Amino acid sequence: MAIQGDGVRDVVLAALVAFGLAANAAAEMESMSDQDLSGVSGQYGGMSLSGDVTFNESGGPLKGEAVGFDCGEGERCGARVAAQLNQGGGWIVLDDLQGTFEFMGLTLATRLITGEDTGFGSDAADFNREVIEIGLPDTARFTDFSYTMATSSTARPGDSDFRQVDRLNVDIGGDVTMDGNALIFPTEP
Amino acid sequence: MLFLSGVPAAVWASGMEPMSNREMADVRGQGVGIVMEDFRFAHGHDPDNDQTFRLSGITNKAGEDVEVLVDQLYIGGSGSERGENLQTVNLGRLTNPFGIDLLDGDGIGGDAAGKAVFEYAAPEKVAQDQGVACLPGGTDTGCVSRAPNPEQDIRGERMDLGFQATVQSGSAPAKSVNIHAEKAVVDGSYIQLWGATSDDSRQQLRGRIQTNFYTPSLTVSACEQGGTSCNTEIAFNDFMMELALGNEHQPLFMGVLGVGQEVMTDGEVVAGPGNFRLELKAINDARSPDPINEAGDGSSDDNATYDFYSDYYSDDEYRSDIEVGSLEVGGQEMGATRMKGMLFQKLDVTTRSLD
Repeated sequence: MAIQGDGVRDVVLAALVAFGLAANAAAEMESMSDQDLSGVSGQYGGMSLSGDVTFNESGGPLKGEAVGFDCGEGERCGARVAAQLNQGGGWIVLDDLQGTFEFMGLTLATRLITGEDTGFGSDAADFNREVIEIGLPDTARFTDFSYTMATSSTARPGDSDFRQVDRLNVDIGGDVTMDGNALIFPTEP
Repeated sequence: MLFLSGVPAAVWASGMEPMSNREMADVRGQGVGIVMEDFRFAHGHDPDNDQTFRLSGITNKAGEDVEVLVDQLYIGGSGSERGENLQTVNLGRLTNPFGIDLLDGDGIGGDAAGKAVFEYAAPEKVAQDQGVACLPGGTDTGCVSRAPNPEQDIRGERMDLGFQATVQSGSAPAKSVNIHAEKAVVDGSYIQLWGATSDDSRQQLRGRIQTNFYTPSLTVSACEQGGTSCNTEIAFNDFMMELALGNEHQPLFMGVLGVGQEVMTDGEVVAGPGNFRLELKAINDARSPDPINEAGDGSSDDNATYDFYSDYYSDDEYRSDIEVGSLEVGGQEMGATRMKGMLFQKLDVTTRSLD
């Protein structure tokens, strides 16, 4: 749900009007009861995000050579994330993470699901609640994005007794087809 | 206002105490439900469109590099025609979504008792008379993910998914491998993870993984690169898998060998630090050191041990099933295949570098 041009103007107008009224009404402000407050419903808005995330486009961590990555001039060496699942044990590693992820039109909004919403069958009317909606971007593009899955004896390549077994290198590039909305909401305890 | 709110906060802060694992386990908040609405995903290797999707780093037996070009990886709605005509799908239902939750381990028992358990779960299966058939026309009717039904305004929660790849192994001619599943359902699957108590000799993350997968059609084929003439296609019709890895008595341990944790066989190191290890606690360790009484009938002093093993062997939840309604090879019907009631009593797998 991207904010449309008209929507923005409405909001601005509403804000101006509200501000004017508030200034006049300030002298007579009264507190609202919980009951009254629960009847107040705000305007459903949201925002649209576009941008890109780049990891280690140029250069990278030191000592990448110890893992066998070529971090020399003109080459890139990526970031490294390591997790240890057992005390004193080795590490599961996401290594040599680099590249760019670009997205256009990722939206973030709240949405009231009612019986009017299509595609859910009778679930939508039964549900009848508010959710957080993340609209997947219109365009999602990877540029020279790559990472390596590995397992390693130590957290860092520079540590003593460092041994690493690379499992899989993944390279992703170009436009990715990704449509839909992620609906997020609390479930009953 | 700032001062007023600051003072009580300071008072509260001085009274804050860390929570024990047991206290945490009693916290039962709301979980987070996730539904992917109108969803589809696809990506593939296509240099003409500036798209890359490459898996590498694997070597074959001769030590040559193996490169996998993923021609297409897709998830879509049913009727996606093997990715050619990608439809959209809802993953999870509003009334029974995918969920992330913190559970009370007392409800799971065994090794999880008294601990907080993290869960990531697919929609839950329901009672047989309340759900829909997991496989169209099948007898298991405990699933909740529905087939599309435009008349009832149901987009459908059953997904088509597939993987098409070109495999270049060393200097051998490239082969294309295709795997497609139609109208697949994963209801009842979950991952549950928990930790160790401070007095546990094994300080390691553990858990259990239930993998359910139902599809009326799972096909695997190999073709020559770029060629449409594929050789024999293997079709698993009415494929059903309910795989239970780990349970509350036999948690699944995942880890990597650290320095000084070499795996030895006959005094020789077979797997050194940096290798991956997957273990399932052996059932005879789950209740050690109490053995079953000698009579084996529960009549002597340790009935609890007898009951423990009796429950272990009779509980269907611990068992894994894989069933294929009919196996078809190159259009030739091979009949049904069933592996039912598999019980993992011990599992210990360690990877080993060949170089």
